Formats: sequence, C-alpha cells, structure tokens
Amino acid sequence: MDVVRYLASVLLVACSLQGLYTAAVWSYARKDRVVDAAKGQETIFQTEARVVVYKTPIIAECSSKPQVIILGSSNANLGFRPEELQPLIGDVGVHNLAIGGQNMRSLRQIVDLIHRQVPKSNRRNLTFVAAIWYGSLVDDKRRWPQGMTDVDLELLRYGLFQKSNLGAVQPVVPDKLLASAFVATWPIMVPRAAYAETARKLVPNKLPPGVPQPWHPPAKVRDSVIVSPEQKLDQVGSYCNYMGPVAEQTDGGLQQLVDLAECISSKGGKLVVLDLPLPTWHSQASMPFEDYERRKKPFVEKLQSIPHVVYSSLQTGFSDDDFFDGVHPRPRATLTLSKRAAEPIRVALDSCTSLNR
Amino acid sequence: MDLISFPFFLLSLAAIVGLRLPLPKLARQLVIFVLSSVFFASYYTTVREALPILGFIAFGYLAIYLVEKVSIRAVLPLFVVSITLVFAWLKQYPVMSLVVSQTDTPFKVVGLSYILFRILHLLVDVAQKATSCPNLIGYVNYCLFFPAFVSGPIQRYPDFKNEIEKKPDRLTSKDIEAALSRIFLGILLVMVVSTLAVDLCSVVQKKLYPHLSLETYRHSTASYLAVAASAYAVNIFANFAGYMHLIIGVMQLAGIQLPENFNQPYLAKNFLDFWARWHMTLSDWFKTYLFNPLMMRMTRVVSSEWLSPYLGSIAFFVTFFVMGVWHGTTLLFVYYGLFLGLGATINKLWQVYLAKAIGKPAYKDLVKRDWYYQLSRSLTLSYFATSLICLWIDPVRAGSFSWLRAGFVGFESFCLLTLLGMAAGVTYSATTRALPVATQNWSARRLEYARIAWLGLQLFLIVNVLLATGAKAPEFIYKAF
Repeated sequence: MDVVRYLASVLLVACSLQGLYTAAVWSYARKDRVVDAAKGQETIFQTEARVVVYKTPIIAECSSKPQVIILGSSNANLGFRPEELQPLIGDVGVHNLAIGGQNMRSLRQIVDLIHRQVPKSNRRNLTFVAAIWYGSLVDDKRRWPQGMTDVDLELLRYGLFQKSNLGAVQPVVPDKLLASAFVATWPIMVPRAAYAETARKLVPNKLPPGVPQPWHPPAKVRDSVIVSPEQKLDQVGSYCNYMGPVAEQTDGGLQQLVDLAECISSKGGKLVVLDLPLPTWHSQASMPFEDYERRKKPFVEKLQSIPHVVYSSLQTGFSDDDFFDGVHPRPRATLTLSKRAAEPIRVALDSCTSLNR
Repeated sequence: MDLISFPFFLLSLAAIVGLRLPLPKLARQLVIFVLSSVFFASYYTTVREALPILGFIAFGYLAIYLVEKVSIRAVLPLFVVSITLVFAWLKQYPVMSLVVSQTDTPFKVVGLSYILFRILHLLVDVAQKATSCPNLIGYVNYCLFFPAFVSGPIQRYPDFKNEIEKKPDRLTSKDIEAALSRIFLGILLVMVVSTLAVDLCSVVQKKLYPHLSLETYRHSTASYLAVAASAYAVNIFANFAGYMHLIIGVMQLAGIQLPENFNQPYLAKNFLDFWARWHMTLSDWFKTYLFNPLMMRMTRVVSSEWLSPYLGSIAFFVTFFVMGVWHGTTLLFVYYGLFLGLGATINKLWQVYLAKAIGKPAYKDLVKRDWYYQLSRSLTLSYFATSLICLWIDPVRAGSFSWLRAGFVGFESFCLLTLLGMAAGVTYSATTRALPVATQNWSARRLEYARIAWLGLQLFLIVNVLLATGAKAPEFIYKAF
C-alpha cells in the first residue's frame, strides 16, 4: 500500500503539472483566431504545413460565422495577408492556409480536413479561395514521388491518422473528435518550438538539424531585390523542369480543380478560383504556362457553371516590378493583390453569382 | 533494441515482474536467459550475423572449462592470447590483416568488447581458483545479461551470481523512490542534456572545420575547438551516465543491484582520481588484470623502493594506453591511448615530485585547498576533453594542418577549457553549498513531499520531452566501442 500510495502521489503531481501546462498552451494558442501559415515560425507549430493541419480546429470553432480560407502555394502564402484582405471584405474571418509547393491534391486534402471538423450546418459559411497558377496543376506523381504529400506527413506525425493498406491516410478518431485531438497535440509541439526559436536567435546562420528557417529573404530584401537576366533564365528553366515536358502534360490538375469546386459546392460552401499573376518575363518564356492557358478555357467554363463558384483572373494589372522572383509578389504589391481579390470574394460572399473576367 | 524505447520498456516490465516472483534459482536463470536472448536477438536480423559473436562466446566457455580441468600453467596465457586475437579479428583491427585476412561476411559485434572483459575475467579467476567455472546457462546469462550487454557495467561473476540468485527484498517506497530517481535522471540526461550537447557540438563543428586547415586558420578557431570539445565531453558523460542510471534503476526495481559505473567524475581531484570515478568497472577491470600484474612483474624485476613510484607511472602509462586503444581501431585511437597514458604518467610523476619537493604533510595540506582543487579539477577536465577530440574529429573535414599549428590551437583551446571548467566548478560548488542550507530546517514530511514533487516534475518533463522528440533518443555512444 505504501508503494502504491507513493507511486500515486508522484503520478498525481505529474498529472497536475501536465494539466496546468496543457491549459496554459491551449489558452495561449487559441488567442489568435486567424490561421496564417506564413506566420508558422512565430508559433508553436513552426512549419506552414503543421499550422495548416493542426490549427484547423480554430476555423471549425469560428465556423458559425462566415470564414474565408485561402488555399494555394507559396505565392498565395506570401501574396494574401489576412490583415490586408480582411478589412476589404467586411466582417468575416480570413485565414491563409497556403503552403509552399502545393498542388491540387494537397489543396483537396486541406478542404477535406476542414470539412471533417466543421459541423454540416456551418459548411455554408465557408468560402474557400483557391489561388492557383500553372504550377499548382503539376502532376501528383511528379510532385509527390514518394506518394505522400506535405499534408499527409503532418497528419501522420502524431498518430492521429494512419496509412491504410491501400495507401490512403485515414483518421483513427471519429470526425467529431478530430478537432479536439488536434488541439490535444499542441502541448507536444511547445518544447521543439522553444528549442527552434532559441536556436534561430542564438545561431541564425548555423542552425542545428531539424530547425526550420524562412525559405524567403526578409521583407526589406524582397521589396528591393533585382532579378538579373541570368536568374530569370534559371528560374524559367527550373519551373519548366518542375512541370515536366509539355508533351506529357494532361488535364488532370484542371479536372482536380473542377472536382474540388463540385465537392465544396455540394457541401453548401463557396469557392473563389483566383488565377494568379506572373511577371511577363516568366509567362512569355514559359511553355508550360502557354500550355496551361490553352487547356484551361473549357475548365473555366465548367467552373462557372457550378453553383457558388466564382472564377477571376488576376493575371493582368501587375508590372514585372511587383515580383521579387518568377512567381512571388513583393510585400509592397500584396495590398494591390488583396484589393483585386477582394472583389470576387465579396461577390461570392454576397450573391454567389459567377463573375466573368 | 534501444534502451529508451517502448520495446525496452516492455522488456523491463517483464524483468521486474519475472524477477520479483518467488521462483527457484533455475527458474530465475531461465527468466534472465529468455529476457537476455530477446534483447540480444533484437540486434540481429539473421542468424548468420550473430554466429561470430556466439562462436566467440562458445570458444570462451571452452577455454574457461579447459582452464579449470587442465592444470598446466601455459594454458592460461595461450587462451588469453588466442581469445584476444579472435576479438581483434572480429573487431577488424587493421593490424590483424597482417596475420589473417578479413572476412567479407557481414556480422555485428555489438557488446563484443564487454563479453571479452567478462570472459578474460572468468578465465583468469578460474585459473587462479578464485572462482569456479559456471554452468552453461549461468555463463551465457553472465555474457549476455541484457541490461549490461551493450556496454556494461562489467560485474565480477561471483557478484553477478549472488545478485541473480538472491531472493529480492520486499519493494518499499524508498526503493521505488531510489529507482525512479535513477531512471528519470537517466532519461533526462540522455534525452535533454545529451541531445542538446550533440546539437551544440554539430553547430560548432560546422564553424570549426572550415577554419581548421592551415590556409583558413583564424584566431576564433581555438574558441570553437574549446566549445566543441566541452560539448562533446558533456555529451559523452550525459549519454553514458544517463544510460547507466536508466539500467541501474530498472534493475533496482527488479531487485538486482548492478555495480556503479560513475561517481561524479567531473568533480575528480586529478586525472587518476577521474579514472577512478569514470567508467569505474572498466577501470577496475584494467587495474585488476593489467595494472596490478604489470606492477607485480616490474617490482619483481626491479625491487627498489626508490624506483617504485616511477615504475607505477610506467604501469599507468601502459594501462591507460591500452585502455585508450581499446576504444577503436583507427590511428586516432592510438593517439587517444597516448593522450591517456601521458596524462596518467604526468599526474603520477607530479604527485611524486611535489610530495618530495614540499614534503608529504605540506602536499596533503595543499591538495585540500579549494583553489588547488578547482585548478587541478579544471586541468583534468580540459585534458580529458582535449583527448576526447580524437573520438570525434573528422580528419578529412579537418583538412591539412601542421602539427605545430595543431599544438598551438590545442593549447589555446586547452586554456579556454580550463577557464570554462573553473567557472563551472566554482558555480557548482556554490550551488551545492547553498542547497543543503536551504533545506536543513525542513521536517521529514516536508522533505518527503519535496522529493515526491521533484519526481513528479521529472516525470512531467520526461513525458513531454519523449512526446516532443517522438522518443528518438541519441545513439548510445559506447555501443560503438
């Protein structure tokens, strides 16, 4: 009995501390009601993909009111700042869930993940914004040669999802408990985040393995950097390599976009598809871009025929100086981008009628 | 099977339950045999990989058996040499390729060094009638005893036999507290201190290597070297001592007392004292089976009392040199052995010289002074940390360097390490002096609550560290030796 009482006392102390710690983490991480993947490193989540996967419960919690959720890749991540976009579209929550290097498959995974957590009655309050460029349509096998997306890897990280024999990543808890399960993992992330933050402060140039750092230069540099002709050539070449030979391109990515739109629409939600701008030195020299422009027309028509889906091209109205490389807008251009995007988003929020551009 | 892993946790639970049951001796031996076999098998994917080590164990048993049965004096040295040669061949020491070709068949030698120490101990003690040849299952259990298989502690066979055959005492809350304190401390040392020290070492090495070569040397090179060396010294201690705390704690819960391997080595008075506190069972083994016989032989040949301390320093050099070389098969480990041998010799000669120069009473008085202790301790640690450079430096990444420049950088780094050691030592002394003062008026009940709170806090930290790291513990450094 002496032994049992002793062990129980130790366990009680440990459990009490764990309870206090968990409560402190939850109250801290719940304070911020905006999910912004670009600010991942300033939070306990550390990476864009981890913010997107593990902070989705915040969107579910806020879903009784209209929520705008931006999806896409790094240009959408940097281009649409919730604090700039939100005042332009009224009293709605704005979240940026765009992760660098994503394609249509991972965009669909994020939408499914949110649908799992948001009550059916609230799904009509969700307005997804798929901010795409031709790179978003890259073939799955080419983009994810190991078969696992960034979202898959995050889902599997803490054992809340498991890979089935057929390769599908499925939750091990019921959808009703998924948001709570995600929140339960937050305290686990704190020690790593504290360690990473300390390392970034102490040894910013020689970070230990596993400590993430921003892939892009600081805002000041992004605003002033000049892309040299050699860099332009290199970048266009690398985007062509990323997409693969034009002869091997298919309509797969565009079809996935239409499927995504149908899925969102069928669940009562809205989708705004934004065709993002590129600098002319990129678009004019890129064969995959030309191929994309040629293929997309019938799919845009299909999109416009789906209820609650709005398509808007933002390809015009930007100068080459608005980009700090071949794809990403400079910080000083993001407000203009948000202003351009606000119009179709407002249309989707208000009337759900399609806007042809 | 890693020692910080779920499978080892289950194995430990099985050991605690199995060895706490009131079983007869043979049944206890069978329990240990099964547990050790499971642990041993976890390191191998095929039987072929394990055959060399199993053959080595079988050869050891045959030798011990024959040594007991055949009372010819020449048999013992013959077996000692042949077993050592087989060991050197299995470990693939380059020098063995001069005698016999290396095998191409892949096999693993995890725990081989420690099996060698156990076999040689049994061989010598059985030959000297200090103990008798164990039965086969007892011998296999002794060689493969799962908590000590990977890297000790090296227990003498009679002590091992007594421990596994004795009926465990009833478990009390004090036993639990003692065992949990060891286990928790071990996990925290490995998962937190060792992990952070590894990361610090790798970060500093990234800065160090580009500036180590002759062409790129900078004045900051020495400070990088000092930080990398001290981080590695912290890492090797936290890693090794942490794992030892863990297995000693687990075995305490199972009712088996394993020998201690560490006794606060970084508080040692001098280099020789350091080795009496660091990897103690290995030091004891070398003292019993190398230093003492060597000393006896030399004093038999040179029976001068005046020369005796100098003979001691020679014996120290040989013992520490062999101990250093044992750690690995490359030339760097020869340097490491030379470093250790030289350190022990200088330490011994300094003691002899100082005692003669100022007289024994004044010498005894001097070594008790705090400033002398702090200086001597810091010099010892700097020397140890400097010698450990042989274990982590990558000669390829280090590039071309001159010995003169290496010596200069090494000396600068040594001075910095000494200063670091002094600062750490003074801080530690002040803290340990203050803590008992703060708690001296506490009642027994309050102290018990404090201990429970301390254990609870450690458990809370461990749970969160294990969750945050996915329970990925750093590699056990001594597994490689």
